[in-house]
Amino acid sequence: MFSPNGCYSHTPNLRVRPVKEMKSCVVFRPNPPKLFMLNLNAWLIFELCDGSSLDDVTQRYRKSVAAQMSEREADRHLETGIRNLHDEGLIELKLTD
Amino acid sequence: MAPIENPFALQKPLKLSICYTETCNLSCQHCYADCSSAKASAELNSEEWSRFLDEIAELGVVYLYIEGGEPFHRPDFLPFLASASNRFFTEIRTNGTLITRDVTARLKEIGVGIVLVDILSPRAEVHDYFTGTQGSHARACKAVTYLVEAGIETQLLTILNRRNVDDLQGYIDLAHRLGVKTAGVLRPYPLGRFKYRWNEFSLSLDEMHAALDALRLPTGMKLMQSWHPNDGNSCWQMAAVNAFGDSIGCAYLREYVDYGNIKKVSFMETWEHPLYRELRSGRVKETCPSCSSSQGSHGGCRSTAYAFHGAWDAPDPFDRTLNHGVDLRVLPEWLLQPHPKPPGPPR
Repeated sequence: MFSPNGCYSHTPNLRVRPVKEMKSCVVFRPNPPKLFMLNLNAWLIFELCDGSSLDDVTQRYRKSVAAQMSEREADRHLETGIRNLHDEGLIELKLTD
Repeated sequence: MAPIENPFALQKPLKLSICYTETCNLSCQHCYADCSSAKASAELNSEEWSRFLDEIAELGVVYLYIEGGEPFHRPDFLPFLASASNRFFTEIRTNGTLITRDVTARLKEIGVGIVLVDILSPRAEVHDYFTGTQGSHARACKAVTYLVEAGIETQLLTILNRRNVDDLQGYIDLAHRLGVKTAGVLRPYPLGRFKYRWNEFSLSLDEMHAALDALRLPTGMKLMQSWHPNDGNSCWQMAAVNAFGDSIGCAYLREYVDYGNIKKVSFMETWEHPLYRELRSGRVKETCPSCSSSQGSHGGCRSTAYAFHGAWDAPDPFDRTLNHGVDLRVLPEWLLQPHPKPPGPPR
């Protein structure tokens, strides 16, 4: 789910273990049980999903990756990242009016 | 030449193995833990295990591998597992014989991650010979059926040896018939009761590779194996505690190391033990480029390297590129004691 009308936040009951030594973040989703290893990009997007609106997440993501890619590319990466995290049950979307 | 060493070291454990008990309902001839049916009083009790779970959750451990003995043999295991599975991705290794339909339903409810069932052979008589228990093969296969039907991720494990090598394809085919998508073939370790039967069960490295190379995997079946080019030195990420609370780094190091007891000291105190730090560093004399590339670590398994060479930085003879003529069918004599120490000064 990728929607401009809502806020993205972490799914409740996840356990998150940043492993800076491995430049990754391990996330345990208990229901259904699965472990995920997020790379730096997925980790960044996951962290930005802190209850903020898509617009806010987009602005902060563009800023974080500005040195590596254009805004258009950033938007494409973000959309893919949010879709993947949502499909795996790591983030949820709360729709607003 | 730059010294061989892992590219980084974990500051805190990420995954941890526990040997929940050294009791079992079977009498396996190859048992690494030398289990018996009665619980030793020194085993950690429910409260001690529970406190330990709190401690490692606080440290950031997210993955818990549980083996034994036979975990389901202890009556307090399911409540323990329920408490663990809320906080950790749980993986259980079991002989399967105590997993009924009711237990399966409970495992589903608890949210266990993966159940690994040991099947020593596709032939019941061979499996039951290993376990010393008539009917254990049928019960283990039944358990796999229940687990698969319940939608619980279930995998098979077997330990490659002389008695089952000719049936390895049959083992893969059995996994397929049972609906299992991942089958593991494990190397034998000279530990527990297995090492005293080594002459009878062991194979040469060439025989092991020939058996693995001949396997035909059904579509969709994944094979787990740790021979070249998948021989990892997993010590960098391993943490393990046995049924008595001893921190041993890895279950396969159970006879060789003791970093301290978690009833007496914090887990992190054992994590900082000098030998433990050294083994996590991946500093070894020799590395296999293919295995280090696929596994991200150097030198292969430290348990088998130590067993055959008596040195922590030795090459792993189970890796064909690091074997250098070591005959894996012949154990060094010093290994044949309960807590073996190689002759001479520590290396």
